[in-house]
Amino acid sequence: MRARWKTRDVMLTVVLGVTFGFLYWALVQAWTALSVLAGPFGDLTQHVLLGGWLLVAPVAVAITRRPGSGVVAEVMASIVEVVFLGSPVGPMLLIAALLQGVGSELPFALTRYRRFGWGIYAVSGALGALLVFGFSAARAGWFGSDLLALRLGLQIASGVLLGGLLARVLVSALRRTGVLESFAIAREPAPART
Amino acid sequence: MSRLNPLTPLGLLLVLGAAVSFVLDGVALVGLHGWLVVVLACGLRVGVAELARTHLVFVPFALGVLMTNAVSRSGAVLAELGPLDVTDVGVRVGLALALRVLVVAVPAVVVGRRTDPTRLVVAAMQHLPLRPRGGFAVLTAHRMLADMPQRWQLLLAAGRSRAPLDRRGAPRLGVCGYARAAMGLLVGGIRRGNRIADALDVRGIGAPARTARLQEPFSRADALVAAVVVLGAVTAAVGPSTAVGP
Repeated sequence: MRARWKTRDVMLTVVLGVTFGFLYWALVQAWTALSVLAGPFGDLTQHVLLGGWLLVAPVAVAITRRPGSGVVAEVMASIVEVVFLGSPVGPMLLIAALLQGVGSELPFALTRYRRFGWGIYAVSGALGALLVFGFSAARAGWFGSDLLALRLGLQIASGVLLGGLLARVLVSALRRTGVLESFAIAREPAPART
Repeated sequence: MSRLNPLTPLGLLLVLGAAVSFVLDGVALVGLHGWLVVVLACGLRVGVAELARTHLVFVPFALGVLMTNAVSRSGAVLAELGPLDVTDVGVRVGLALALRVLVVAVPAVVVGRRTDPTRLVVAAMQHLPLRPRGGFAVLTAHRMLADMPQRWQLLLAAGRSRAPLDRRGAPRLGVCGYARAAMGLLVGGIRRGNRIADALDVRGIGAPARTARLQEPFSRADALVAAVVVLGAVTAAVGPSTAVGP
């Protein structure tokens, strides 16, 4: 936190962003298939997968423990999607990603990047989902729609599960592989294997 | 496009995305889209085939948006589909939102395909607060992205060779198999990232002062193109919708 970013931190954040950008793209394929299958409710099924988009920020923060790494990784992922793979949401995805990153990183920042329990991850996912929900609701005119509460509920639940708790599972799995030995995360004792 | 600073078209796309976020008028969106297609076809010499293909990619998504909105809004009922009412407001908003998808996505994809990543990063380093270390990291990551599909397929193939077979003898990868491949992609990427970071460090990439061989200045052409595109877009959007009336 107090130390400068090391080049490895920069590289890791960017690599995470790019890899997740690619994986998000795979997710988008599943997403489009799902939304066509579900017909009129296609738009809704997409909310179920929304949390997946929030995943990279908590992962980057938990590994590097540098302020801003979550936001950078999330924005990188969205750049990959928009510029190289082409997402139907277009450049506004960058703004959405910025909001997601800020929302997901806020709980970690408030605890000064010291606490990485299940609770913090869950709050991170929920907050990211909430921020981006406000943004897309304003853009797509959902406020007048009948489904506002349902949309909000689905997105928050998805954010907590896919964007929060899954991130912790992923981080501990990554840690067990040993590739994170040179990062800030390795300074705390490894959790007991479950 | 090769004469422009790569930040100019990107900036225009951002402005377009932001402006369109507040437009729910179908006629204006049609006009705007027409103008953008003209810009792409004449300005960037995009062929008809490529334009059509790019449109087709986004049609399923746009249809999904249209269908959900058509049945989920209040207004005069046009038709009933089981328990759902198709309303006039719903169809109108849905059409506008679906159009918005095309307006935003098609130019973004076409321009994105024609943007040279090296020039873009160099321009960002010179005009935006992007430091060289970050810039080179992004460029390296872009290279990694280029062979990511291949690595992904490789991991999937490896998974398939170990997966249990279904009744017809084809390997069944399942969700777990995909998750495992994703994990492999991540771990391999992080490993390569670490090695690249060390290589960059050895070459003194984090040094405080650097000179740059490549230059990406803004020129008069940038201002001209930006002005023409923006003015044309405003005319194309406002003109027909005032002619037709609200």
